[in-house]
Formats: sequence, C-alpha cells, structure tokens
Amino acid sequence: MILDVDGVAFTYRSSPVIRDITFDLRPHQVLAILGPNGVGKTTLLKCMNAILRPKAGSVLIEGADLLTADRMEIARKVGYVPQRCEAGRMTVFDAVLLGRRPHIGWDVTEKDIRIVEAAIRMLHLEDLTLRYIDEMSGGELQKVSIARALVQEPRVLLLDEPTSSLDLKNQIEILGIVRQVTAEHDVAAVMTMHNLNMALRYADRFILLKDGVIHAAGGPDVVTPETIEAVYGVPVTVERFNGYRFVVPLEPERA
Amino acid sequence: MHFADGAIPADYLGYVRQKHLWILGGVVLLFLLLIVSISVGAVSIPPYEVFLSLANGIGDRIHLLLNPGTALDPTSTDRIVWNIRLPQALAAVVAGVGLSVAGVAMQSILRNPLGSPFTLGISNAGAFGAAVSVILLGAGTMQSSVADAVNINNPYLTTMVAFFFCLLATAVILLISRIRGTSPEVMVLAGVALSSLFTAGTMFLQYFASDTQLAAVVFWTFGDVGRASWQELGIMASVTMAASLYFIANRWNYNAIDAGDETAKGLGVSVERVRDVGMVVAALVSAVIVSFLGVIGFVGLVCPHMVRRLIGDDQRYLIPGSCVMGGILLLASDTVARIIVAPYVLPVAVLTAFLGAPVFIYLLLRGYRR
Repeated sequence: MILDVDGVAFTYRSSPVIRDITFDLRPHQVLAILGPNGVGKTTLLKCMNAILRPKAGSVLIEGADLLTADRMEIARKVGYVPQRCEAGRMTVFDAVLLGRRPHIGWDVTEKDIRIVEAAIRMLHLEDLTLRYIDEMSGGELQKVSIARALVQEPRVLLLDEPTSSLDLKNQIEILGIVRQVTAEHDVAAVMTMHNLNMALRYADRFILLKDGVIHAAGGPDVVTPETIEAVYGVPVTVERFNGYRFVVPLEPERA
Repeated sequence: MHFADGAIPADYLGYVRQKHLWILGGVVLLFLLLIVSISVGAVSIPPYEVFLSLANGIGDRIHLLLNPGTALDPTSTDRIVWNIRLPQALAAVVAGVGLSVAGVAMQSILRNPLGSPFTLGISNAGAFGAAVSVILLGAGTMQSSVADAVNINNPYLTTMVAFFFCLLATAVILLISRIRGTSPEVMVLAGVALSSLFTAGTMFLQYFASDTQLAAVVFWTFGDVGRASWQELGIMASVTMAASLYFIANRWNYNAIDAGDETAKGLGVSVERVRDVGMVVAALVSAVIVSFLGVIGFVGLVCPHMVRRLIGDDQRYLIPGSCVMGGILLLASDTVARIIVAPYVLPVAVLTAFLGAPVFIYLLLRGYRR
C-alpha cells in the first residue's frame, strides 16, 4: 500500500465534519472522492496532507506516519493541487520551479531545473515556458498547477476538483494527464470530483461520502442507482457504453 | 517520477540572466547617483573629486584602523564629503532600502497591493511617540540656528519613545493575529484601527500643546535623512541589512504564499509562521527608520510596484530589485530636495511623493514590461 488512511476524523468548531474515514490505495490507482457539496470531500483531502490536522486517526504513506512529520517532509511525499491558485507576474517555468520548494536549500540547482524542464515537456507546456501565468487560460493554469505538484516528486497526488472550471477538452486533457502520470509512475492519485461520468471514465477507485462518513467504497461497481440516490438524493439510472458506466439523472417525479 | 531526461533550457537561462542584469544595472545607477548626490549642493564638488575623496578616505580610514597612532588629515573637500554629504546620502540609501524591502514583504504577507511598511500603523505610532516625548516629556524647544528653525533638544529621548510606540503597535497586531488567527484581512484591518487610534492620540496631545511644542512635533514627522549621524547610520544599516537578508532567504516562501495559502502549505511552507515573523521583521526595520529619521511615506509602497512593472512578481528578483529601487528613489529625492529651493533644504519626505507619483502613474499606465 502506498497510502493508508485509518479512522480519520475532523471536527470544525466542535461539530464533526468527517469521521471514521478508512481506506487504502495502491500505486497506480486513481481514487475519486464523490459526494454532494459540503459533505467534507475537500476537508478529507486537506487532512491527507495535514493542511488540516485530523482530530483522530492516522495517515500513512508507505507505512510512515504523515501526521507527525514536519511540513517540508510532508511536501516531499504528497503533492497538492488546490481548487484554484493565484496567478502573479511569473513565468510558467518559475511557477513550476516553485514546486521544488521542499527540495531547495539556499538556491536552485541544475537538477531542479532539469526536473522542471522534463515536467513541462510531460505536460506539453514547452511552448509556454516563458509565458507569464497571469496571461494564461484556466486550463493552462491548471496544468501548471499539476506540473508544480509533480516536480515535488510526491508519492501521492491530491487534486481538489481539478476540472471544476474547465471546458470539456481541458477536462479530458487534465484527467488524462492524471491517469497517465499514475499509470507510468509509482504514485497514486486522489481527487475530489463533481462530474460522476468523468470520475467513472478516469478513476478506478471510488469513495462516496454521505454525512461525513463513507457510504460506499470500492471499484466502479459501487456507483449504482441506489448509492447515488442515497448520497445525492437524485434518482438516476446507470447505463453502460463501451465498457464504461454512465450516470444519467432521471426526471424528478412531478408532485 | 521519471524526470531523468530533463535538459537545461537555454532560453530560460537567458531570461534569468536578463533579470540579474536589471538588478546589476540598478546597483550601478545607485552608485553613480551617490557620487552625483554628494557632488551637488551649496559648495559644488566635481564628481571626479568626490570619487577621489571617497576612495582616499576609505584608504585612510583603513590605514588609521591598522595604525592607531596616526591621525586623519582631511582637506575641506574631504570634510564636506565625509562629515556632511556622505552620511546624508547613505542615510537616504539605507532608509530607501529598508522601507522598500519592508514594503515588498508586507505586500506579500498581507496579500494586498496597498501593503507598505506603514500599513500596520507604524508611522502614526512613531508620530504619536514623538508627540508624547515632546509635549509630555518636554523634549522639544524652538531654537534659531542656521541649519533648522526647530531643534528637538533631546533627540535620543524622542527616538526612543517613537521606537517604543512603533513596537507597541506591532505587538498589538501580533497579539490580535494570535487570538484571531493570522489572516491578511485581520492584520490590515487591525493596522487601520491602530493608525486611527494613534492619529487621534496625536491630535489630542497637539490640541493642548504650546506653539513651540506643536512646531517641534510637526517638524519631527517630516522625514529627513539629514538627521542621521554616522552612529545612527550604523544602527539603521545593520537592521536594514539583516532584514533584507532575512527576506531574501525567505524568497521562495513568499513566492509560495503569492501562489495562494493552500498551494504554499502543500509546498511545505508554514504560512502562519512566515507571516508572523515577516511582519515583525518588516515592522522592526520600519520602526528603526521612522524613529531616527521621521516619517518618509510612499517609498515603501511604490518602489516594489515599480520593480514589479519592470521585472515581474518573482520574489527572487523582486526583493533585491526593490532594495535597489528604494535606494535610488530616496537618494534621488533627497538630492533634488537639497537643491530645488537652494539655499533652503527641504526634508526628503516632501519630495518622495512629488518625484515618485508621476513615475508610478506612468508605469501604471504603461503596464507590465514584456
């Protein structure tokens, strides 16, 4: 196992947000955390790299306890792509180079620059290397964010709604990158998502959160009309096409 | 991750070299400006003689250090250069560097383009301290002298009381951010509240002050780099240098914070601690400068933005660039202030905005350099 989450709970102002979250993940797996707004998806994600300190439970990366490690050590193991990031007057190369922060001593080394260059090529950003990120589109910026997390050389990638503000082409591109990176490297990815069909297309493990606890977890087969209706309160049918599952909302019954 | 095949891109190295050249060019400009600034004044000294006097003076002083028995034999030119104009010019450079580096740090820490060394109420706290010292503790009198119309007859008391209130303001904001959590909004708003409080306090004291005291307080608030002696210059320079080094050492942390708090935390930066410590360091350097020289506005706010327009937001270049730009702007302002209405000498604080505002508006209109 590359990631072991055991009994994690988080409390905000004495009301529990998530509790008893237990799951694990192998290398090359992509996990989608699903559930309605406010159910604690992002909270869970942030507990997994100690941006939020869980009130109970443990998070292990390759058997090593993450919650007792210091921030820099965590940053060398877990890459985090937040829902949005600020774009200042900085080039793509420097913005990605920032991801080497957990590895940089006083100054950047040649090795850091080589890694950044390779990551930029991996994400097909090489034509934009010296463009300023405050002049870029949402899709390009998201790729820069992911490249930044990749050059941290983490074992686990966390992505908070990586496609929430992107058009269809960019959604496919970003999720394809996540899929490809996890397939080709010894890493695992965890992402929170709203688009169920995109999740079914690109993830292979699923967690459905309801009222702060795991309602269902497992492979694509846990995404059924029953679990979706229980979690989202929306009647759906789950169809198959080309070997993938698709969730189609049904007309709500007229009152 | 398989990143073994990475190359070193030549165009990026060229880009980095260009940034370094900008900063180096700024340093050269600052040095030339220093010579010019020393050469102009009531007695005009040709720049070449200024250079010779500086070079010889440095050599002589090193000689004096190595052979304690001997004495300096300064010419009249040397006296003007070393006793009058050099300390003033260096004070302008040091204050410019200090205020500007504090400004660039505050803008990043507070995530606010209006951040400046005075955002947290430092300048108003300093002015209040001066008012307390002059009006309540009796440190100010009016005297007619050639140099100034008003003398504060106990400048050290005034400096110390001003410094005390600057630190008090910082401590209050630190305390508030400890209780409410370190967020930029809380810091900015607390700073605004403290500024108003100290302004009101100053007005209250001034209302009951005599004419002489009032003049002394108002005079104190006009920031003037001519006040610094070599000894005070040494204190300011050490604090400014230490603060600049601290900020430069943290350039990656500020870059990370600029990318967003969550990104920064994900990159291993202890955002709250970097904010708190950075705020204290920025406040300290501003407090030292304000206490010795009075309030010099605009430099700390505007220099970082000028540099942003020239070389971008990357803190690796922005912090050293702001240091250089601060030195240039304040030294240029002081030089103009000394000659514009000769034989009268204006305090530099009057000139910084006069000189800086048009340049700044021009840069705003032009936008970023590509």
